[in-house]
Amino acid sequence: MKRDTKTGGKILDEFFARAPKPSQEQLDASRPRVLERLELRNTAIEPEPAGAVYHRPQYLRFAAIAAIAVILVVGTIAFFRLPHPGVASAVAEASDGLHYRLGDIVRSNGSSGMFVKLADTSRIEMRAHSELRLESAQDGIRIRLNSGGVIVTAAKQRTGHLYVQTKDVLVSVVGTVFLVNAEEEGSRVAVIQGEVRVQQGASEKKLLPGDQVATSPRMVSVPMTQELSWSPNLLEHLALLQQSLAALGAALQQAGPAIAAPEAPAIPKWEAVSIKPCSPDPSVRGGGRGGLYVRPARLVMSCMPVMFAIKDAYVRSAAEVLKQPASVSISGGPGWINSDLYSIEAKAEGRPKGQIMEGPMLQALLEDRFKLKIRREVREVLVYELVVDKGGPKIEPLKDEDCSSKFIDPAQDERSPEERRAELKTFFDSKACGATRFGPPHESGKPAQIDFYGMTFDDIASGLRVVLDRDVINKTGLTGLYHFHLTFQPDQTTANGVFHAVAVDDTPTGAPSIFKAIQEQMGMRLDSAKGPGESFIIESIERPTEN
Amino acid sequence: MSTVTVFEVPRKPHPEQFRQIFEQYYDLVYRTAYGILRCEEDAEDVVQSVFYYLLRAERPPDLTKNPKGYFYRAAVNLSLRTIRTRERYALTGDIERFEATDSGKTEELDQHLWAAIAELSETAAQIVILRYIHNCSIEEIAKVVGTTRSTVAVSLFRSRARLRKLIRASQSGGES
Repeated sequence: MKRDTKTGGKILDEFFARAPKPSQEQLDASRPRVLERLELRNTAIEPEPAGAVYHRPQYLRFAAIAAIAVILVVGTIAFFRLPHPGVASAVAEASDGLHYRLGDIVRSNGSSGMFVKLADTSRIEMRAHSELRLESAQDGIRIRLNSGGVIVTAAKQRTGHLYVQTKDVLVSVVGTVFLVNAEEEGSRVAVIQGEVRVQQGASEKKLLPGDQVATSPRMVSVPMTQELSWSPNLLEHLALLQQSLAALGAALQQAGPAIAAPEAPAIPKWEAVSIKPCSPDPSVRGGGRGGLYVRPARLVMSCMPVMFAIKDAYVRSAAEVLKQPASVSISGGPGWINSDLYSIEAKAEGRPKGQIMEGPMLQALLEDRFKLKIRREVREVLVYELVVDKGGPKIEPLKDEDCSSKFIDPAQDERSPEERRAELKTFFDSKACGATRFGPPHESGKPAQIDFYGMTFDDIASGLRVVLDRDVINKTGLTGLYHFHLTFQPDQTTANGVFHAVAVDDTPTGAPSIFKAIQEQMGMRLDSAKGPGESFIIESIERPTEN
Repeated sequence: MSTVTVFEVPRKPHPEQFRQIFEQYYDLVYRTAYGILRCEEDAEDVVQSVFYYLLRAERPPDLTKNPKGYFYRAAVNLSLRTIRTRERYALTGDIERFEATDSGKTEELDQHLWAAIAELSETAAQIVILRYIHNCSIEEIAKVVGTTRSTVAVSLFRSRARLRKLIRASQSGGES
């Protein structure tokens, strides 16, 4: 016993002795890094009160705007479209309010998906970076999917069919919900509700709910949950699928017990969930705002408002295509969802992917424990249109040799944080292409600045939308890549974006407003207009039930 | 004649003031966090959170009385919370066998012990860290955590006993 005690004490002493002590060099190197992050956060950060604390990007892409030393916006929200306003022959209307005729190409370029409604009320949900062409078929309309993915909710066809054609498969339906992906290796079709006929060459297959088919053996099987995960309506689709499978199962059981119904792809469940109120003061146990982390089989939200989790679950995760969730609004709900802080710890059954935990599983948690009821709407909202001003653009497109390198999307970057950080230091100095820098760190009396490096005007519109109070749609018609620098005085129009309200109280800097700056420094103009906007509306929410 | 007491509400530090506070206490917060977390990035996250709270809190902490104590407490609490979120589920499992002399198991032992410290009461954990990581005297610790020397001594004794017990339990588990 005594030996044990002595050994235990010795082990303990050794343990404490092992606690590392940072070198002076380490301290000196980290101090400016942290200060820079703090200064950036103090200007450019999170829309209050859903404040975000800096964490490494894999956990808080949503807080990226708020947190990373420089804010990099890569990607495009482009609305390639062929507008035919008021054309009687239009067969489809997209979520951007524009009409399309037969022969038109619809593209959901950039990071945002798109909805297209056909004249017969069929609905096509397009994944980001998808392209389709509307064509006439013998007995209906054919959607030629050139690339990307669609989820089609086909209206009941009275006489003919609705077709979806890819390079190697033809899908025909009369009224059903199904998914088609056109990938490089081949095509994939999955059925959510109803019956779908899939023709590949001479062979034809009939698919029922839960069935999937791929045209190439190289295409690995993907669970339906994952297949549908890009859809903002993921939960609705899964619920419909489960309903269809249940109905199918009942029908099959009636037909004979030997036939088993396909298994429903259930959303993984939480094994245990703990929700506790907490204090914003970090010196209090469990206090101090944290963030939202996903770790293997668990999700942790450290002392944040429930609105933070709602945004993460519905805006970012449910629509993974949205790289800039700031452009999507959430409204409704009582004030406490932004002020009361909670720590959530949830342990999942099995090992679901982070995307599933932060998406449908977190949604289920919020709906269960906070009794959250939320709906999503695409509606007409006020936007800005970026157009060329009378005198023409004041900036020149880059020549190829002016673009040194392309920024690597953090989600695709396999390098270590240290390697990545090292590159970031030199990234802007090297004038690499494809990024936006917002700054400088907030200091009283300094104007706000944005640097665009080798970006298209679609990208630039995306960059401006995280600064301004409305979405920005590129209407310049300009092509090519541009470098330029914008200096302006933050004001109310920029108060809810990257340049937070903190900056609004600043003393005037003498710099022009962002509108004037765009005119004077870019030769462009921001016109107020109406356009498509996405929003989530909180219908009801309650304080969480006890653990 | 009535007396009116005016409470001074802590005010957010002016940028210049903030800079001074940051420079003065950065090392303390970083050393504390790094000693506990043994990871530069996690330590920087903690430092950032601690100072960010000063900048953005609606009711910032009062630093006029015991700023050093405040920063110690904040750094320890946030660091231990990081450990708790890291280790929560490992902790709920059985403590695995380890031997102090086995270098391959050292990392594991450290993880278990840090997780155990994270489960101590807030003050007890602060006291352990101040004593053994920062080599503070009992008197210094008493000032920082705002208690008496005897309370610190008792708390240290109990925490050490608890940690030793954890080690013994693990060792006996290994022998059985």
